[in-house]
Amino acid sequence: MHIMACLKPVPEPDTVKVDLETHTLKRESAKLILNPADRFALEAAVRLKENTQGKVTAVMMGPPNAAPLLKEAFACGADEVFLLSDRAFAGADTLATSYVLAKAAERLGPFDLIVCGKVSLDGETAQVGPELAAWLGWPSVIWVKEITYKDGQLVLTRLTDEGEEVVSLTLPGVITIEPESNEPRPPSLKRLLSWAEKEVPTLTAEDLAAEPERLGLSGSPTRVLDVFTPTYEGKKEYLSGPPEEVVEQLVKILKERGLI
Amino acid sequence: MSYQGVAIFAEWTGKALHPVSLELLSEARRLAEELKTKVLAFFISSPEGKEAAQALIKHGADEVVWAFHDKFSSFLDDLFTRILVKMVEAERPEILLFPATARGQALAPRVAGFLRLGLTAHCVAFEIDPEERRLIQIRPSFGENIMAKIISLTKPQMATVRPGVFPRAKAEPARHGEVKPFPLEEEELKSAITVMARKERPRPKIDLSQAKILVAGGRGLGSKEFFEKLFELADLLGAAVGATRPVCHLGWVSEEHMIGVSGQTVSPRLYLGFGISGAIHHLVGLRHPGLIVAVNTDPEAPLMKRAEIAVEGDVRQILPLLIQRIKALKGVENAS
Amino acid sequence: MIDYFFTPAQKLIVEIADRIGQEYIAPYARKWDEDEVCDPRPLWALAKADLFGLFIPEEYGGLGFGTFENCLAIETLSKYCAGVATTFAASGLGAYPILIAGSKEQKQKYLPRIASGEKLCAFALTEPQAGSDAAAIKTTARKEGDYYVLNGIKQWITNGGVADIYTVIAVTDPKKGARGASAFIVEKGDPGFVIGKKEKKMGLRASTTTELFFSNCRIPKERLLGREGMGFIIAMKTLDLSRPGVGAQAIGLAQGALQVALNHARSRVQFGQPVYNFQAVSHTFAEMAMRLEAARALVYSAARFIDSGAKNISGASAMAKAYATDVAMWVTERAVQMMGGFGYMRDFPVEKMMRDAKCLQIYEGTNEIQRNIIARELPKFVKPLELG
Repeated sequence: MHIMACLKPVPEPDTVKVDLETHTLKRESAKLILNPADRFALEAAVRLKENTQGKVTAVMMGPPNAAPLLKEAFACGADEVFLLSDRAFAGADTLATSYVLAKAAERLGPFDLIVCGKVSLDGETAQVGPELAAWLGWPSVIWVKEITYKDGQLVLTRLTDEGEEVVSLTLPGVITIEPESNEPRPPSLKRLLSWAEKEVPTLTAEDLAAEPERLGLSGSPTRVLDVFTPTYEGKKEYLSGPPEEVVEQLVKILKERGLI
Repeated sequence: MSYQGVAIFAEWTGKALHPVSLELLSEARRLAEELKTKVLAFFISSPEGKEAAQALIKHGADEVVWAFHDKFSSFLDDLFTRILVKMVEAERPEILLFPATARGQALAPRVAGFLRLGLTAHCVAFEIDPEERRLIQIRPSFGENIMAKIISLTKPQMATVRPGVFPRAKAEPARHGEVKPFPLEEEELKSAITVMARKERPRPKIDLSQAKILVAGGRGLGSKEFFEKLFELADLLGAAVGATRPVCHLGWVSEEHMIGVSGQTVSPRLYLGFGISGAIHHLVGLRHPGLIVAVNTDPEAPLMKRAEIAVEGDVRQILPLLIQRIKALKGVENAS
Repeated sequence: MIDYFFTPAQKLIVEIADRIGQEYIAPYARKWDEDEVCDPRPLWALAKADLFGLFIPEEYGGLGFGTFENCLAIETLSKYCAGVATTFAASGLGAYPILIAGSKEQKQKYLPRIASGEKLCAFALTEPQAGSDAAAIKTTARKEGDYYVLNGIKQWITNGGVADIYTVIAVTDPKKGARGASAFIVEKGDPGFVIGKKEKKMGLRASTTTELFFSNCRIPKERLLGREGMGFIIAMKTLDLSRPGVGAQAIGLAQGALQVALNHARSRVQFGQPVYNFQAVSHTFAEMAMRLEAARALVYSAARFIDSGAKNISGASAMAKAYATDVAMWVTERAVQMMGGFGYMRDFPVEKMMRDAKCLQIYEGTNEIQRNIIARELPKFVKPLELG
């Protein structure tokens, strides 16, 4: 089975700085990490490949400095990795992002299955997987926590609001993987050493034969009008000092208010 | 031809109307009144959904576009998308809202993708720009303490709506409207997905929304094991345990405990947050909380600023001490 | 404070071991200690990262690095849990006899599975009556046609039960004493080989220690390592190679204790200021850091000395083991003291580190035995110096 795993670089939360003037994220200051949910997707893809003697192609749309994350994906079991990187991709919303991924699937495939993480840490829309399926005209199943493969059919356990469902999916298709549904492996030292100093192959808009008006900001129908910081009122009590005393004061306040 | 009306996706659980549909209806009603237009409900269900279709009218829909078939007792992502895309093309609503439920999140991006439309996820509020008839979609953004106002340049303007944010519409028995059966052709009813088995969650989902006291933890607790101390404290206080998104993703606690975007909305009398920085994703889950107490080493953390009682200190020291102190207090009560 | 000039590959080893420590060990270490369980998950992660193959030659599926790189991995893991590091290092210990004395066939059969982490290894020398006096072992191996038949008891065997492959020292010729010992490979499931009870330990509780029973345990004669009579030499050489690893465990453990305690001392406020501001505290930390760095330098030097191909490594290896583990005991005890009541509580990690450290002074040859070795080796290296 040939599987494409879609990965996303996200800024590490602790390193993100916000521009206080514009209230936008200073992305360049942030350290990039692999989106945590995508590690489970990659692991699911690699396990499925191991059980079916298949191949995993990992792709990531991102700036050039995201390339080391793909090296890590290789070390975690992807057979080949590609960075989808082009200035024209900048400013993409989920529709323009999923378009680029769909073009990559056409260029690098044919694939039997595309695996995405459930949701990204920064955007948190959970839209790219199903939108990618729509671009390709494929079915999609989201929030998958178990996967088995039998006779060309994928049998999936997906989470629903009411509980779980076991569904079969005729391929090709797109699935998104529930975080914590498997234990992602650490990178293999052997694979990292074998990669050595090789460059991560990069595909541009031209390589993908992408239509320019579908890319980046011009391919994105949503616009951020404004960002604002919600304000909350409330009068304030500030406790600091030795923990024992702080706890004592806190318990006293909570008792006074009849909360404990 | 212009776009008219505010449409919602009315969700069928396989047995009944999902109550979130009524939350969408109340907001759709409000938006439609501002735009002086009608409310549509797109409803896909098994034939038993007939009464539910009427209920949608009573709760605020002017028209229910109803596709029904025995097959629709199962949720089939590709088939439902195909029908919805046709409904949108036939009815041309200017706004289309989905609940951010499992089904809503599976469907909305598929529909947006097929129609090449913009889509905003997990909205918590809407505003209308009456001149442009534009829907301003408000959602938490970028993991920091920021809300974003987003618009869509395409129509219908699509958004998913966080459950628990809008009030449920009340039934008005006198309301009238039209339930329009949606024509289906047999060859459209194919799906690559077959539901083979269904298992309802064995125990009731942890319902944080009813908790009077909430003890919540974030990454500042440092480890899964230390996070478990929250359960000890919760037991002592008769509280429920909540968590931030990163903590759930780290696997310290199941996602059923998540508060905020893609988690639950809570309104406890007392909220104790330990090691929580207070990203907006989490804060939006606090609706009308009573007293907020934050414990954090960083006085600049957003939750510390939001809290009525901000406790500066190391949670790893304070939490065990607090447990001890409350145990002692309980001991006294039990003894007396 | 000192840069040891690691190669890029060595940096990568530390980075990966550290990641395994953070993700697969740190969140659970205290629970494993409390429950006394050898959890397979960190071992799975170590296997996936190829760390079990660090010092196994590439032709046998390993990475072909040396003692030093193995020490770096052990040190890093020990910062998070010396118990997990023990399971890891003991598998390497069990593999050394095969590496030292195994035939090509034996190496081909066993080493690739050890390198991949598919099979864990254990080394079985100690017996109820033969601890420090290792030459007093009583377990016998009698040759019967194409088989050896083993009888006896091994005691305090790390990885007993969790390992699949055991390298066992047994007496083939009781008349010859130490020169009558031989080394064998015994596999889990061999007839007459039974795992005994799991010991209840003070520390290193995430690792498993058991007895091993051999009652007419029949193994094919191809399981003999080297020749009959080489057993004791193989065992001593094995320990010479592995002891810097115990030293590495010690410095990792001490490093962890230093980090936890220093963080505490800098944030714990008493008398209106962080306790680190008091000289009695800060000087203690200075002393901890100094001794730890000296131990690290010694362990690294000994490991690099071994990797240089040096022949007479017993003294260097013993020094690294004894000195570093004594330092770890002292540093972890001070770490508990510097944290006061917090240090003594099981909610905080340093009391475990102190319990773990104690074992390092005892196993793989007590530190008293190490001093015997150093003293025995000393005249070979220290020439008389005559000053006018």
